[in-house]
Amino acid sequence: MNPKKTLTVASMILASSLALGLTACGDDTDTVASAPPASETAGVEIVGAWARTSPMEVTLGAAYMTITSVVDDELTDVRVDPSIAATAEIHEMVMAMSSDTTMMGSGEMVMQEVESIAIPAGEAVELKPGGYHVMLIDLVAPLEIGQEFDVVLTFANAGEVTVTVVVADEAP
Amino acid sequence: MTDATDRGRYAEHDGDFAMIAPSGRLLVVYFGYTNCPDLCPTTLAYLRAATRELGDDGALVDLAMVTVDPDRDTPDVLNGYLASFTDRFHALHPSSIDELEEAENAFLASSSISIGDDGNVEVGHSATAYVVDSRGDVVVEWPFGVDKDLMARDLRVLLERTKQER
Repeated sequence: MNPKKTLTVASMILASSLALGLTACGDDTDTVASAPPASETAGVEIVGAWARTSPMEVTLGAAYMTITSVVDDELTDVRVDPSIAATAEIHEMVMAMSSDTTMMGSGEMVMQEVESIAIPAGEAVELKPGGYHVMLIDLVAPLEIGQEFDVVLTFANAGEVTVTVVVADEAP
Repeated sequence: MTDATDRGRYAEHDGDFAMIAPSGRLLVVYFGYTNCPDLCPTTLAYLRAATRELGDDGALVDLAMVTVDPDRDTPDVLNGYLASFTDRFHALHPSSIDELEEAENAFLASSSISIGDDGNVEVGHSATAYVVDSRGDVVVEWPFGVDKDLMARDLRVLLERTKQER
């Protein structure tokens, strides 16, 4: 076990994600610092990464992108630069089907956290409004047009891939 | 519906808002909440872009948003949020669940709030935007996913008729 005193800047950056429950990654968390550049990781291509400008009074944001993999893969975790938001999660908007609450069954949309997103080989999987998104929780400051920040995506096969997200009013 | 607007062009009012457009104008009614990271800002950003596409006529379109999460969306929060999208907004803050449901029922909208297993507030809502004319009729419904170009096209057609009222 590493003594806590040896925490480096890189592991500090991980802190918020660890609190979220990165335990699934176990001892592998220290690979972040040595992760190779995205272009060299196994077969995942990410294009069009953007996040919407955040309205005033809002502490939640959403980032979108299109992911393609040459082999079957799975997006299992997301982390965001802690100078941008405290944590990030994978979310999906779904149609509420049953009326197990007081719903009238008239097509309410609800948001739910998902464990992972399957990325079938050769298929462009879109994270887009109304579907999947990377939810940015507890924004440190409003997201402003032109701003850029990093999101680290963890894939079952491709490992960690860092993507630069551009803030815009609408999809690029 | 309780009008909580305290900034923008409609900051002065008598405290009550009827879901009807003034003569010669259109009103877009939306039921949402500010902690909605995906659907609400997507729809409101499309509306903002659509009214910009209309040029001067964009100023003939007002927005009324009813919060479906009135506990967390205080009037101040709601006003700040809406001011990010337009200055022609009505911030509607239901004073009771009954008042919210009455308004929703008039549009066949619905929403629900529950506390999830993780303690987080979970909000469901029907996420449709409604265009209301000066007779108080819903003339177009925009389910989620209708984009700015479609909104602009609808508004352009509707405004041709609406402008004759003036």
